[in-house]
Amino acid sequence: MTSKNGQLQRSLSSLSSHIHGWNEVVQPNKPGPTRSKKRRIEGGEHPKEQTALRASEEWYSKHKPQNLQDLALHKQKLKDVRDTLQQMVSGESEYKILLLTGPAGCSKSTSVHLLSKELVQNYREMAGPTLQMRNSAAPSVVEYDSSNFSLGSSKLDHFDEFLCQSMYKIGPNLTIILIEDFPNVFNSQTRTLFQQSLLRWLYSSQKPLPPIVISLTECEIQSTETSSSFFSVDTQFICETVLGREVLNHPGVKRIKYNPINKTLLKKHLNNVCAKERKAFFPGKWEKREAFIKSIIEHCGDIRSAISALQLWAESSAQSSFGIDTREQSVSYFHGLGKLLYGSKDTGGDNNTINDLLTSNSLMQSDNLRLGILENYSTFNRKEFPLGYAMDIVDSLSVSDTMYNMKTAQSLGEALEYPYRTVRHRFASFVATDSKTSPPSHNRTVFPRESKVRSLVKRFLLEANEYTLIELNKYGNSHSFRDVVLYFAFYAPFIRKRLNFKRRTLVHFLESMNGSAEQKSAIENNQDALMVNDATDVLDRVGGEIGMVNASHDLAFAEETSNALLASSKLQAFSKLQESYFVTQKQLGNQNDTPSFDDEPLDPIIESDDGSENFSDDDDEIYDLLASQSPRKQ
Amino acid sequence: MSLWVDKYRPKSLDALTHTPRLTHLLKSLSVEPRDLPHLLFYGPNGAGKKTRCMALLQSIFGSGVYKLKIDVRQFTTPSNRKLELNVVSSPYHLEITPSDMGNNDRIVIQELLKEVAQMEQVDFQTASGADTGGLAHRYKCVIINEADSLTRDAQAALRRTMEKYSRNIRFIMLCESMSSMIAPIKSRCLLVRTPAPTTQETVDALAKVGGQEKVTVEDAVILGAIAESCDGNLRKALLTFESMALNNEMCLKPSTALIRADWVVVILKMANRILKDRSVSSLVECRATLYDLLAHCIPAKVIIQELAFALLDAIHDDSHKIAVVQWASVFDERLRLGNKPIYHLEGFIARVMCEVDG
Repeated sequence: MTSKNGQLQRSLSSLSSHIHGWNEVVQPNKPGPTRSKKRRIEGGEHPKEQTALRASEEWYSKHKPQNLQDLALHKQKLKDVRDTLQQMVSGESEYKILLLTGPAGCSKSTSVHLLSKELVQNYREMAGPTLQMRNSAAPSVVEYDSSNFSLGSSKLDHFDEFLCQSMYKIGPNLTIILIEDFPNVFNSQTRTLFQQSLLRWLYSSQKPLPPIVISLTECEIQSTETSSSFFSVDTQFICETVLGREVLNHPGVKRIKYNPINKTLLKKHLNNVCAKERKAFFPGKWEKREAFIKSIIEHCGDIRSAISALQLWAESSAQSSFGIDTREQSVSYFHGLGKLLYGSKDTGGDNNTINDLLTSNSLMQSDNLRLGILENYSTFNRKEFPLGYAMDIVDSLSVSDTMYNMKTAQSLGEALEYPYRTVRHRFASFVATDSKTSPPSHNRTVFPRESKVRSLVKRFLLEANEYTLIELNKYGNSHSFRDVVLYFAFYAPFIRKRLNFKRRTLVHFLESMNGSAEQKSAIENNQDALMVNDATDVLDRVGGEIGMVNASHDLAFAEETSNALLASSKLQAFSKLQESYFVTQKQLGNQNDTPSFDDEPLDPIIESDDGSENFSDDDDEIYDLLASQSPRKQ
Repeated sequence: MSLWVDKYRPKSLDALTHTPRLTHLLKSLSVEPRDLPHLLFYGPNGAGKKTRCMALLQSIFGSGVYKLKIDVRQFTTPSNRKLELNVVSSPYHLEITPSDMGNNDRIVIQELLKEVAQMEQVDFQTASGADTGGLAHRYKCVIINEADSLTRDAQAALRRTMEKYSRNIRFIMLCESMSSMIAPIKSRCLLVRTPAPTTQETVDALAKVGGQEKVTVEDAVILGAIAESCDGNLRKALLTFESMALNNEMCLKPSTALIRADWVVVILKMANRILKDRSVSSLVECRATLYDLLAHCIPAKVIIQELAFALLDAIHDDSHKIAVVQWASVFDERLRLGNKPIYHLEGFIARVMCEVDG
């Protein structure tokens, strides 16, 4: 009994050290103390707190690979990383930042640490033999630590300071800068600053710069809300959202993607760990290890989690392997979508696939997946399937949407299940009839556009709101929103046409002047007219297609239309209007009946009319000349 | 510089143009302002409900009702969400539009009206000796735009308020159809049907505006065509008229092309596409267009309606026409029940494609 008690305590403390263990991982560990064996013998005694902590050192840090041969990484991938890093260290490469992305526990940081140790030391020996003694002792990697604040320094430019300090770790002092711990990127301000610092680094003209390695563990963050979410850092913690498009597309950034560790490699490593830890095994467990390892590797590509699971199982007295599971492989949005649309071979039968999905996690509860089905069903077999299938699927989604409970803002479970089953049923039957000729190939799946549409709607509402406020303050007309939509529909094409015409005439006029001083002043006076986009045709306001959500394009979009921003701009518009209202009031008091146009640059209709009037006043002749031309001809 | 729709909106009962019988009724109401009942104006969009309601208020309170100001009011829902609502008001009345507040209209109705109703008592005792004879100042008018979009909850709450505070408050509700109003509210109001102007009345109104704006109309045929295309919606007719005049240098020939709202054109194009190209990829492209329409705040209900009518015009086979009407009604109902309009709109298009395919 007492022995069992001791074991329990041990696994508890191993959990706590699991939590603390993250930072300690960095230092290469000395071979583990043999204390654990000793403690096993005196298991009957009440263990002291300290021994418990020492003994339960995590196997994954204890058996951290000491050299590159031990690394659980595909040889080709290792070579890629090595070559890139080698070039960066030696300064031959145009890359300034190496970006390693992948899920948790796939040897990203370990590979960097091991590689840098080797490469940096080689380099230093070549670079400065005189200082060799001192330098070989210096660490080959310097890491950013977001929690390491000196008192009084601002949190926001902490990262920037770190980069500035590290900038001179070159030459004989060369050190690789590893960014694994990020500043708080969930705060949009901090994120922007973080991205700006990286960009400054990328665009910096200073030639020898120490190489930066960013190791980013990508994951999807389940939102607690049931409503569909924006494509942003809050839901998708991936390099597109964290680093931003400009950094990613910069030629100085090299990105290497890591995959989850494959079964063969994982099995090899787990067996190695077992061999080293044989003594730590609970009596009777050693013989069963093969079966357990097999069960772990089936659904885990995370080596850290796999070793932890092995340790817990091996050291505990519980005989069955139930209840000890590896990190739950959460089904991400795209993964779940893929399973639904294309089926899965792992689970044996579509019924099981869907049951698994429904019970697995909160993803299934959110609206996002249904929107995703709508967005992506057409990717199946590159749109080559009967229209009837599409109809059935959309119909099932439509029925499912009607089973939505307004009060709780949640859908019924059956409502969610129905479209999933329809989709699978339909596409499964398709494969059955047609797969003999060629296996279906699919397009890429995408994120639903709903969030994009929502932010566009918000922007439109804001515009409409501005218009109503102006109308009210200036002319005392109140308009319902519905009417404003109608006004926009009738006048926006006309306004666009006028603006376009104005711009074209202006451009023509400027060309005819050939760079005199007048031209410059004319350009300055008519900046806003010149900014009108030529491509907008008369009917372009609606009917354009809203493109797919694309990681590299729509990110800025999702960011800038965050609610806070919209709210603040709404307030601004309102206060501006209040001011203009007082101005007009004052003018009315002064018997000045002409409404001033300059006070309200927001009113689109006034703006265009006003502008063209001014234009005709100033440049009468040219205007007459050009007015005879059709605006569309040029 | 305001739009013609606003510029030539009649401001008093005497200036109202069409349906003289209704004008007569409103005049008789304004004679005895103390006994103004709760009013429920119903009639199609663009028939002049709001104009008549404001003209009535003008005849009771004087032109002060057109001195509008706007306030942003904050409300807190039970789930602690903050709601912002623009409330338009004059010294004599205030206006609310329930569709601005979504599902939380009950709270807004209760809070706002209670506040108004209770405050007025204090306010109006001091004003009772004013130059309007103290008659009109007994109550404040509350105009509820688009009253048919009020939820059942809100309507029930409204009913209580109507009874409780009828001393201080008069409601004027405007709605397109009475079918979604609950019976207790209908029974507490004087129902005022506001019919759409006939084609001739629309043409007369357009001609009058055209005369004042110095638009050269070569032949009244074009005005007739505008009036026909707008189905008795005077607002739409005026908007069409103005944008056509502006686009054609203030000169309308019988051959001048009619201008429609840009999204209507888009829907027409989409209808043609649905009939011509019935495939999955066409469906996907239609979805993109639908999303764009939704992004421009065209209500899904309107989209499905316009689309169905456009399809009916383009289809020749009678059995297909029946199918379109049938499915349009099915998906219209689902739109009401559901949450995300895109499923239902695309579902409708997919159905139609399949039906036409046979």
